[in-house]
Amino acid sequence: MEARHSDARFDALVRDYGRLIRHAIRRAARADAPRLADDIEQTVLVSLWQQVAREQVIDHPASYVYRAAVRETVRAIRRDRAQSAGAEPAGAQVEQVMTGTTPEDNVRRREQRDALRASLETLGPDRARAVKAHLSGFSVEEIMALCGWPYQRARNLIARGMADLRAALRERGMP
Amino acid sequence: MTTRPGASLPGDDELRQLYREDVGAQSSVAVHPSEDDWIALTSDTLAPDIRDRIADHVVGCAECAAIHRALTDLRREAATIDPEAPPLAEVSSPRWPWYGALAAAAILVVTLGAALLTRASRDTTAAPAPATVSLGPGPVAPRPGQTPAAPSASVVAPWAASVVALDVRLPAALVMTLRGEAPIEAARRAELVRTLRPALDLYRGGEYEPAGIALATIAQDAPDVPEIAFYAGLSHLLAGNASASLPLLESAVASDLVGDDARWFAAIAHERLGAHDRATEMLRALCARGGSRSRDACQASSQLPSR
Repeated sequence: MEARHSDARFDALVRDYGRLIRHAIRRAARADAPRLADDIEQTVLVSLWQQVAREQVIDHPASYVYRAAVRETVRAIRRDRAQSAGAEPAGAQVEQVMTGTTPEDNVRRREQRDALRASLETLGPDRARAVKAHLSGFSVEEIMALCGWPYQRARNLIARGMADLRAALRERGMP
Repeated sequence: MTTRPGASLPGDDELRQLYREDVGAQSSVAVHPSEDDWIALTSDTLAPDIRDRIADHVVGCAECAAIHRALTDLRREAATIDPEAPPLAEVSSPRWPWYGALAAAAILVVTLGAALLTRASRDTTAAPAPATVSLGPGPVAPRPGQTPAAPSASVVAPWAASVVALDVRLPAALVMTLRGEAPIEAARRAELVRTLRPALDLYRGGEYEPAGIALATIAQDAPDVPEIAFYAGLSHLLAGNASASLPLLESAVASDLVGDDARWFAAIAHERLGAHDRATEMLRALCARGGSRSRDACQASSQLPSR
């Protein structure tokens, strides 16, 4: 095992994955993530090696490191979100948007959200999934990866779903 | 977004803002996907119903959306360093063949125009016409995955006028730790990977001339890895040096990974060097082979002029 783990190529693969995780987290995590990037990379590398050290024999090191990298990415983002949650109370984003508006504005905004939610419920499951993913800000590639759809299917579901959504919103008085 | 009575919701951005507010206003009590769920999702091994359930959760959960974005980035990048990482499905427009045909037509027009201008210029200066066409260094080719480049002036056939830089694919054995491998062989492979990395970085960075030189040097010492010769040849071709690319590409046709690509680019190199008959012969063989470049080759063969 020692010889296996000291293999330079395996070291390099783990280091490369550590770098990739760092980049992925910098892009996906909240605004203060870049400040934490060095800490995150160190934590990820240590955790990756701890996972590797627990295994006696790794038959497919590359795919093993890939799975470990996915696991560490999930943990790092959850840690980041948990830390951020302490500084930003739940619902703060909504309150922030509504700051400076009148009570009537707030009521109207809530009605619009209700209309959007009700309109989404009228869509078929795949179209609703595609539209929600689109409205969440996912790219087509991210939607394909999430839902397992090929490119053309993803694009069609988004386009048709958005058309259905707009029609449903119009029926609810939001032309 | 305005909240006045009768206001419309014209743009996707405004709907996104409203949707995010709605998601943010709801307290999520659903169970988040486990780490194993994420591993299965990013390895495409989830049952469809479970995948749908997880997708439904992710699109309404800000934390899970952040995780999914990060994992998609990780997966895309992992494919460049790890042949065993599950690849992402290709994002490509089905209208590309139509744009491709338009681009080929545009290239043909430009090529004919350039040839006519060249001939007019030669007529006025009475300079002797060259026996073979030299493309010279040509324009800077795109980086892997970017838009194809076309030579600025040539009389090559349209199918050989543009070269696309391919993403790097190397055999898994090059980067995998194998059971029972002799230490001396492992050390040799480790050294090969160490020297290969900066050369491939040049290629990925679009510096094709130095990449071609560096990769060709490495390929000489690693004849058992024909993929290195392939990227050396492709780099030379992208740098506009068809004569340097040809022997390297021809030595890479034995590769299971890039053999058909090597044949295709070798045919382009022949065409660019004026060996039209040899290029045509290679195209027809590639078309009949039924491999990954068969469609391109058959299409190019069908458009060949009678020479």
